[in-house]
Amino acid sequence: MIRRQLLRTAALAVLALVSPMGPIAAAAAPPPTADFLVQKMDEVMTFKTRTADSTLTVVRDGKAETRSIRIWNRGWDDSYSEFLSPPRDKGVKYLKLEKNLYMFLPTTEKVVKISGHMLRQSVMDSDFSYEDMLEQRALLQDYTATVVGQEKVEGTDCWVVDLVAKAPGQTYARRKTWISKDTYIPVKAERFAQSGLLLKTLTMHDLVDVGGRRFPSRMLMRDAARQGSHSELKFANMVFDVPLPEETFSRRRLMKGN
Amino acid sequence: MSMLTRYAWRNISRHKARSALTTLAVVISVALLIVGHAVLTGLSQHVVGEFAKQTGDVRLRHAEYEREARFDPLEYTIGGFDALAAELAGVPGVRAVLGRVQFRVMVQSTDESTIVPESAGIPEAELTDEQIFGRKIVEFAPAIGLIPSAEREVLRLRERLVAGTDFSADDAPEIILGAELARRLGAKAGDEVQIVSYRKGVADAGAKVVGITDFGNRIANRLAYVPLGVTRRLLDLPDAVTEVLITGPGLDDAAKLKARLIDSGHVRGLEVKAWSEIGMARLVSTIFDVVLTILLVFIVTVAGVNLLNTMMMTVLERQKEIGVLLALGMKRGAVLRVFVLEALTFGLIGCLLGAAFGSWAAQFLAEHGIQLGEGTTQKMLVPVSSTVHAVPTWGGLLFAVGVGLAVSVIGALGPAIRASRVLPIEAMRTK
Repeated sequence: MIRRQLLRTAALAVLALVSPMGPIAAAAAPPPTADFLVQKMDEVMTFKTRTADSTLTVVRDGKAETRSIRIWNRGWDDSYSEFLSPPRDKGVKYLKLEKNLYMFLPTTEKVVKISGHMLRQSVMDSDFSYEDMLEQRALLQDYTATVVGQEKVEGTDCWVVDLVAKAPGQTYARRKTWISKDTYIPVKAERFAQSGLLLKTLTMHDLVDVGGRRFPSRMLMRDAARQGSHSELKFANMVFDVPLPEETFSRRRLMKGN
Repeated sequence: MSMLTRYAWRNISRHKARSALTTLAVVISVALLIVGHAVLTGLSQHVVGEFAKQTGDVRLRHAEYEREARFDPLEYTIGGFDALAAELAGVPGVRAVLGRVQFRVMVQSTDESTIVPESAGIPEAELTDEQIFGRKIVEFAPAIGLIPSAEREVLRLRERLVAGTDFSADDAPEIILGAELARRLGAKAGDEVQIVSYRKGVADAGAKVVGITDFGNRIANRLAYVPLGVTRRLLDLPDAVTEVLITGPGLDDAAKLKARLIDSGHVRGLEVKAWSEIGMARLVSTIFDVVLTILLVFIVTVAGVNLLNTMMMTVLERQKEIGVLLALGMKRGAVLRVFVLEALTFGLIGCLLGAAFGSWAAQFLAEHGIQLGEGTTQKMLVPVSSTVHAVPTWGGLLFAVGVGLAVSVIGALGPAIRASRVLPIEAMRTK
C-alpha cells in the first residue's frame, strides 16, 4: 500500500516536471506586490552619481533637430547639464537641486529660476517638460501602486503597475508602468491627466552594462498633445557612482556660467 | 394764405413766453441730437480705429494659425516676409505692409544689490537664491514683435507713451512695456531687463526699457513691444512673421483691398481677412453698432417726446381759441394750416439755433474730448482710450434738423386735428 502511494507521488512529481502545465503552475504563484515592484524599479534606476554625454533629438513633422548635452547627476535629486551644441543653445546650463530648477542663459549671462506655469513648457522644444525634469524617483510617497496584469513589451515580459496619485497636485494624476520581470527596468510608462487623458508615453530601450549594472541608454518620449512629434534622449559614456565634487551642483558656479 | 401766415405769426409773437419755451425745446432737442450723434460716431470710429491698429485693413496669416491661435503657434508663420512685403507694396491701393510676430515672453528684472559676494565667506548652503542670483521679478506677458519705423503710422505707440521714448532704431535691443507690466516688474524707462522666450526652445536677450505706454486698458497695458529684429533672433525666425498687416485707402475700402490682394496672386495659400471679418472685430463692431443704434433711438425718443409734449400743450391750451375761430366760420383745414405754420416756424427757428449750438458743442467735444473714466475702459477687450473725441458730421447735422422739423410738425398736427374736429360750442366751453 505504502509502496503504491510512493510510486504515485513520484509519478506525479515527474509529471509536474515534464508537463507543459509546469510554467502555468509556476505563474500561478502569487505575483510580487506592487510596492515591491516599484521599490525594485527605483533601486535599479537610482544611482549615487552619474556622468554621461547625451544627445536630445527632437523629431517633429519629419524634421529632426539634435542637441548634445553633458550631464552630471547626484542621485535623482540633483543634476547639472550643459548644452554643447547647436551653436544657438551652446552654453545653456541647467541646475536642478531637489525641486528647484535654474537655467543659465549665456546671451545675457543671467540665471532664470524656472517655476510656475513655465514648468509645463517643453525643454528645448522637446516632448519633455521641465516638470518631467523635476520628477522625483520615490514614486511610492506620492502614488498608490497596484499590479493590474502582465504583458510583453517589445519581447520583454513585464508586470503592469498602475500608480494613482494619493493627493491632487501631482504633475500626472495616474501612471501606468510596465516593469520588466527580469531587470525591473520600467520599459514603458504612460502618464495620464485627472480626466484619464493620455498625456505622455515614455519608453526605455537599448540596455547597456555599465560598472556591473544594466541601464537603458535610450529614452523615447511622446507628448500626445504634440502631433507628429517625439523626442529621443540617448546616453553615451555613462559612468556610475564616481565621486563628484560638491561644487558641481553649486548655484554660484551656475551664476558664473562655468 | 397770407392772412393765415399773418395770423400764425401774430399768435407766435403774442405769447412770447410760450413761443420761447417751445422754440427752446426744439433747440435743446436738435442740439442734443447733433452732439449725441457726433459723440457716438466718435466712439464708434475710435473703437474701430483701435481694432484696425491690431488687424490692419487686411490681415494675412498662415492658413493653420487661426486654429491654434490661443497657443501662439510659432510653427505656423509666414516665411520670406521681406520678399512678400515688396510684392504686396506693388498692389494698387496698398499704403503700408507691416510684419508682426505675436508671441509670449518672460520678462525678468534683476536687482543685483541683494547679491552677497563670495568674498563675504558665507557658505553657499546658508544663502538664499536672492543672495546668490539677485532679487528677480519675473512676469509672463504677451508680446508683439514689430517694425518700429513702419508702425509709426499704424500702431502709433508714441501717442500712448507716458514715460520714455519710442524705439531708437528698428533693430535696437530695446523694449516698450505696457504700464501694468512695467508696474509689476518695477521697471522704469532706462532700466535693463531680460527677455526670455520659452516657446521654441529657450533663448534670451537683454533689452533696455525705452518707453512705457498707457492705453487705459488692462489688456493693452500688459503687453510688451519688441523690435522685429530682436524678436526674430529670440525666436529663431529668420525672415518670418506670424502676421502681415496691410493698410490701404481706408477701413471702408478694406473689402476691395482684400479682393485686389487675392487677385494679385501674392497671398495664395494664406488666410486673408479684412478687418471687419476678424472674429473679435466683427463681434465688437456688431455689439457697438447695436449699442449705438439703441443709444441714438433713445436720444431721438427723449428729444421727440419732449418736443411732442411741448407742441401738444401749445395746441391743447388753445382749444377755446380754436372753438371761436370755427364759430366765426374758419374752415377746419385752415385751422390745421395755422397750427402747422406755427409749428414749422418754431421748428425752423429752433432747428437753426439748435444746429448752431449743437455744432458748436460737438466741435468743442471734438477738440477737447470726453472723459469716459478709466474704470469704463480698463476692462474692454479693445484698448479704448478713456478720452473719446466727438466727430461732427454733415449727416448728423441734417439728421438732427430733419428730426427736429418732422417732430415739430407731427407734434402739432395730431392735437390740432383733434381740436379742429371738436364742435365749436364744446371747444369754447373749455377752461
